[in-house]
Amino acid sequence: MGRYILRRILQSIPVLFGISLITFLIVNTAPGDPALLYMDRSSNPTPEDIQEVRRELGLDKPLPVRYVEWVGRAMVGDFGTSFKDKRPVIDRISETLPYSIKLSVISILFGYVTAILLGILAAVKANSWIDYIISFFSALFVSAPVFWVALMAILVFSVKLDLLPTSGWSDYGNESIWNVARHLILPVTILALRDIAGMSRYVRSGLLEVLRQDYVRTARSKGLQERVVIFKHALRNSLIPVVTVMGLSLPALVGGAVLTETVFGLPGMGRLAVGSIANRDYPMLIAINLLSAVMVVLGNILADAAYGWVDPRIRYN
Amino acid sequence: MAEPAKKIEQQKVDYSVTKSVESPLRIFWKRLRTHKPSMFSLVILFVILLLAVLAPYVTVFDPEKVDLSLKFAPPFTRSADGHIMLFGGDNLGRDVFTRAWYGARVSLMVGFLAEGLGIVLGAILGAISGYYGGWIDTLLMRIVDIFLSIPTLILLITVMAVYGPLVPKGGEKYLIVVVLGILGWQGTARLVRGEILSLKERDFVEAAKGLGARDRRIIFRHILPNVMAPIIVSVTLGVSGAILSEASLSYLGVGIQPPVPSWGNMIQSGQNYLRNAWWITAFPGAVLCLTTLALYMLGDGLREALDPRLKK
Repeated sequence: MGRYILRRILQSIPVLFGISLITFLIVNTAPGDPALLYMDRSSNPTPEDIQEVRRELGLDKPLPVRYVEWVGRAMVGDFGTSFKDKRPVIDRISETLPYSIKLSVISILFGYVTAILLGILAAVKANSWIDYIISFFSALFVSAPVFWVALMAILVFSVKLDLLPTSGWSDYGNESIWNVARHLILPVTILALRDIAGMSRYVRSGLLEVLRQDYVRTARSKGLQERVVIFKHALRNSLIPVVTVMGLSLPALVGGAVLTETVFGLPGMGRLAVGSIANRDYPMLIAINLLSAVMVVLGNILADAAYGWVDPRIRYN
Repeated sequence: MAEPAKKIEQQKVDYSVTKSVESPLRIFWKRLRTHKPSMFSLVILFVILLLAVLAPYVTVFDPEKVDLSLKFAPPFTRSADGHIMLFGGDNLGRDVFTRAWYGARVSLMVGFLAEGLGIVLGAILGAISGYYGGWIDTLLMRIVDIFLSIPTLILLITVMAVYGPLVPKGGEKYLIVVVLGILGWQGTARLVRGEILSLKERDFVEAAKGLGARDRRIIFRHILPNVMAPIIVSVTLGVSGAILSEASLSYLGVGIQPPVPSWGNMIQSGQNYLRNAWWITAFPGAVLCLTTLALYMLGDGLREALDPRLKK
């Protein structure tokens, strides 16, 4: 198992190089001089000043050299200086990343548990009105725009009913767990909706498939309670296809987190990316692209490792 | 000389037999017609498309004309010349209903064109990959792997932030089409490649090869038509995805720039007035949601109609 994970990590290195190359090229082949973005334009820089900044940012070197140097520095966590506040990019990211990770992990856990429960319900009550309602809402939330659903939730639960706060991670100066939890109810639910909607369909069809099999009939015919049949015998096998799509849904989750953080004003990395647009903060944008890709790749490896847990027939060799 | 003539005649008989067999697309349509949610979605999509195309005839309001006397007018308010504002007025007194349908023109156009581009790229690259195999297949599939593990929205934001300010005003929709197309071919490529891998071993491809058909003819005339059905499914889901991406970008301020309306930037401009004028945000989003839901349910129905396991 440990060797398998190590091999998967090694295999993902070319993928990460590919991603770094793509984002680096997108940003660095754009017309216009990044040095001008870095400088305060109101100070009327002379051509010599610009030349100086270009040298400082390494822009006077040829593109391949710049890429190699950039990768070398990125590997030790140096992503350069933000155009916006001239602070190291890594500092801003390490301030915001914990919030994004907390939001995503809570959403994933909440989402998968809910999805599994709803999927079981839909499968057990297959072709009943409960099943139809679940499948309608899952179609709705798989296809709905996250940011609009978030705004409508704010309209109903915060503005009209005045039950929950509209934005922020917590009230100012009050970091108690209850305060944070109250602030996170809406964002976590909204971010999890897509996974709930998508996964519950896979759980439903997976379970229906498994329930038709002989060993389930055997379990039933020896007089086991239906609950035992489903949770002890059928569920684990029905989760195999679910684990497959878990990894695939991660890029969408990261994208959803960007929108959710923006709507709810959460201090995460996604909102940092959106905030970097106006300043065209290239070093920040490249770093966020790369780090979110790293997170997706790691998540995929974890999902693959989970595969072996649900399906012991799978051998990692 | 008698034998070949016989063979030709036999072929003729075979031909008439195959003619009486229903084409796959026909069977497909027959099955789809019995799927109520899909037919309902088709009707909704048709209405939305019609309203978008006929927007200048559906409404008398100018989508970009500011009228501060109608600022935050609630739904069903009558304007000075007696026209009803079905969805109310926005923060600049413009008719939300009118803007929603002009916005639909932009959003639908971007969605269909971007997905169209993605499908063409995906079909060509997937066909090359599956048909030729070898190093070109390995290379293309590695690229697909890379793209599928990139969180696309963040990459899209980056591209639009970098290149958005460089395109002339009004040109951002074409930039979005190109970028979404380039970032949206991987799923199709993988699909087409898989289908081709199984199709290229089949007898009719061998026969075409035996008759001396060139690779391009085999791919485009013999293989791709057989992949059409799964492509149609992925198109409906892809258009829905492209519309959502455009809306997200416009919502974040890097997509379609105001005053030109798009569903995304209308929602963005309304969100600050949620407390007092919810309709600015709610209605464009509802139309957007209805569109993507209908596309999704249609795709779902299509997939079911295609599933060989459900054959009667």
